[in-house]
Amino acid sequence: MARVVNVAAIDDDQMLLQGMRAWLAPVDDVAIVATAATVTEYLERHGGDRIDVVLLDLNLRDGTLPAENVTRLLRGGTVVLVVSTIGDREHVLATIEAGAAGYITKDNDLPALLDAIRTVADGGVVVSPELAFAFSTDRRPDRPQLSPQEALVLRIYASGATLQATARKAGIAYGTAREYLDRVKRKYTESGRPTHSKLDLVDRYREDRMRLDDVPGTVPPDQGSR
Amino acid sequence: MAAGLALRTWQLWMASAMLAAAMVPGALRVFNEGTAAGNFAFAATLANAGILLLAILLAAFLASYQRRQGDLGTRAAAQLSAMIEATDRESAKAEERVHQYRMLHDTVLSTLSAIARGVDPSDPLVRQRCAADAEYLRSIISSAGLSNANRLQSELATVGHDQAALGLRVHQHVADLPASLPNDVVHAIAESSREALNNVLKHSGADQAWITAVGGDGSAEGGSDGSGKTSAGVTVTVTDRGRGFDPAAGASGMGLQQSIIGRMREVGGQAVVDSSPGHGTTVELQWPAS
Repeated sequence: MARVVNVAAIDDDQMLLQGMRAWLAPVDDVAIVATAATVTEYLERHGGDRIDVVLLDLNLRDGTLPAENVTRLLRGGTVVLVVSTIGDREHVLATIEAGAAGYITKDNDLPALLDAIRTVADGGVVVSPELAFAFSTDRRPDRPQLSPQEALVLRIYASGATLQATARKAGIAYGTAREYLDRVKRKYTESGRPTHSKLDLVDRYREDRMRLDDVPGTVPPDQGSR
Repeated sequence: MAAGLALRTWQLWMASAMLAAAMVPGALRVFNEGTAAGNFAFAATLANAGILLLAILLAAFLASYQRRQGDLGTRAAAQLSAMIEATDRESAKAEERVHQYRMLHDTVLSTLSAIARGVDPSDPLVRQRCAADAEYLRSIISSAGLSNANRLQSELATVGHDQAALGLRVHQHVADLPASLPNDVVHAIAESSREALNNVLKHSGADQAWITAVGGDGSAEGGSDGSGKTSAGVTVTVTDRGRGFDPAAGASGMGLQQSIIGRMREVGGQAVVDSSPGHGTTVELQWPAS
């Protein structure tokens, strides 16, 4: 058996963390070695541990920004796989642009989750159908430009077809389809690389929230919505 | 209507001007004769031309007045139909809410109540039901901000939930649906999707399927303008990763022709079934037909 992948899970739903432990317990090559409710808690208690992959819940209820959470975790040198119950397109895209290795929804079965964990642990990228859907329905004017072939492969794969079936439908080789998907993912990560402006935005967001906190009766933006 | 009136006024002007112009040579000839009778005839012709001009002016005024009234009428009618449309939308929303409450009552609420009363949550049947309920909630919540009371989204969620109860996990992804779609179109798409999922359950051997619903013809903008305006149409695909079949060998017994292709055609849409042995099946429903 190959080496064991050490996984940490950050989620504020205690039940889900327990479920995840129970789920992964019988699996030999993937071990949950740490859990935390917030990124800050994780960094304080496990920042120095050897963790290969962090499973990060997209919408933590402490009001932190998903993309900022990814950035903070990446500074610790780990790989981040974003998971969520509901795919909020805007935030999902932001975490990928911040450098997350992949995104999957929590309704996936165990084999799909394990597959994703093993892939990102090996340095690969995970383009799940749900992430492909977020890419293919990205309507922001500053979205990364995709070639027509990339857009076609993305759209077919986002509809739930296997990569093999996607390649057949697009009339290209399997390896080419794989390469198109990876390239799309790379374009997103690269478009997010000049993070100066983004960190500025984060700072501005924080200031805005503080200002909101000062006004009685108002709710910080992230806590009101969910 | 306004265009028609304008045309008629324009024709009136032309006819009158030509008539007046036709009188001028005759009048001039009579005047040149220099007789008293000639002078009288000249004056009479001049008077006639004057009256004609007055009539033209009056007619033009009447026509433009009528046109303005017509515009007002058209505007009032447009406002009225906009109001009726808004009311229709509101009542459709209300209807939708009632439908969703009923669904929530029959699914999530009754499942939670049963567990609270002491049903064993580790029972496989209970877990299957929880998964189905969760999938239903997920599908009505996702992209809620974009198409809050969208009937199609909710109908598809219901279809997905019905299948989940039968053991098929349905992942639903929705984006940029048009604000409203004709009822018969929503119905045709929902029932065609149901039929496609029935086929997945019966023939594919797969235990999960994907429904994606996107506004427009379903094409990603890719390298193009990326303006992403939500258009009036919709494309829904039902995909599985099961054993598939050879379309050339026919797919009798799957109800594709009547229940899906025929049904979509009846409402002005189309359905394309794509499959290959070992590669799963995709049913693409598109409205309107391209």
